[in-house]
Amino acid sequence: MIRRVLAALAALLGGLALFVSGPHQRAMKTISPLELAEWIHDRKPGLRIIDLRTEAEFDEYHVPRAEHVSIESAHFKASETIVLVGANASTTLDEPSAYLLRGGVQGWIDDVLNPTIAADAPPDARATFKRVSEVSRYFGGIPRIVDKGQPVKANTAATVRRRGC
Amino acid sequence: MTTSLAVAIMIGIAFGWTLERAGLGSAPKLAGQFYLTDLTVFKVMFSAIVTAMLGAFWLARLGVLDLSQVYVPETYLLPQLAGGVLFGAGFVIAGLCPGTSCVAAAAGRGDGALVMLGMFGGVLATGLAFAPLRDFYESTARGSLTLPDLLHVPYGAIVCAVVAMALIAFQIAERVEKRA
Repeated sequence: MIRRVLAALAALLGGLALFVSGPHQRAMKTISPLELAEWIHDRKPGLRIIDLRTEAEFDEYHVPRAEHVSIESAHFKASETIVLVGANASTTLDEPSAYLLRGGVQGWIDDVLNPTIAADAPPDARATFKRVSEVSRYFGGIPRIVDKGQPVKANTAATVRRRGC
Repeated sequence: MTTSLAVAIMIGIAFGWTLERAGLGSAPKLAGQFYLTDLTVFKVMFSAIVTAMLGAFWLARLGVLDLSQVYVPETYLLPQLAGGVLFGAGFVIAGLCPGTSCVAAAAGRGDGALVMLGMFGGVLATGLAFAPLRDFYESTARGSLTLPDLLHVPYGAIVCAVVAMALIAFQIAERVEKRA
């Protein structure tokens, strides 16, 4: 009896899903904070960073070179590479070179301004971290080596120093 | 971090308890899957997929869950195909998969403990041999693929199709089990 009820419930929810779902929208490509940091650092031609958060949040802190405009009011050229910051799951931008920043501004603060590596990390991880550290320092971040079990404390100084840039 | 670990342990215990209650800590029961005499594994796993899929879809529709924050593992065609074949072979030989071997071991079954030992041995061997395997491990990368993106159909249509497939498959599984 219970199995029949559950099967009927699944059939009902599955059937309704067909009608409440909108047309297919291809998920936007995403970019990691470190990849974006490399692009800004390397002065990638045609790069535009669009911050979709509120004005107050933008004023509090934003990714360097970000513009605070809405998707509706912005005009994009085909040659531009667009990175959206603070977009939600339903945000779509029908441009071939449009990306969502993974983790948003918090991801940028964590991965670019406060990168950490374990003290006993293997050599290949250390080599990668060396490059990450260079990029992090370019943006005013403070890379840190943490001991096993040591709580990772956010480097608020780095975020405050870059505030409003 | 401590809270996450505590929640993970509680979910793990609940998962293990459920597997044991479903009889999935028994190797003969799991091996029955491959001889088409007992399709419990298939039914449990497909039920779990349908439950999670419907939950994720409707919670996202109701604005409770942000699907953009749900991690979709990347696809690496050849290495994952090789891993699948290796996993399947191990499953048939041992009669247990990684999760059920832990459940069997926790229930005091010797075969479960041996499978766990083999599993950790395999993990260690792979770790030690990782450098020469790395190129293959990272080959044929296809990014994060989802069925709606791959088939260019709405998410809801995939949900509906998978539920229909599950209900039909459960009916067939029941008939197969009755004949066995």
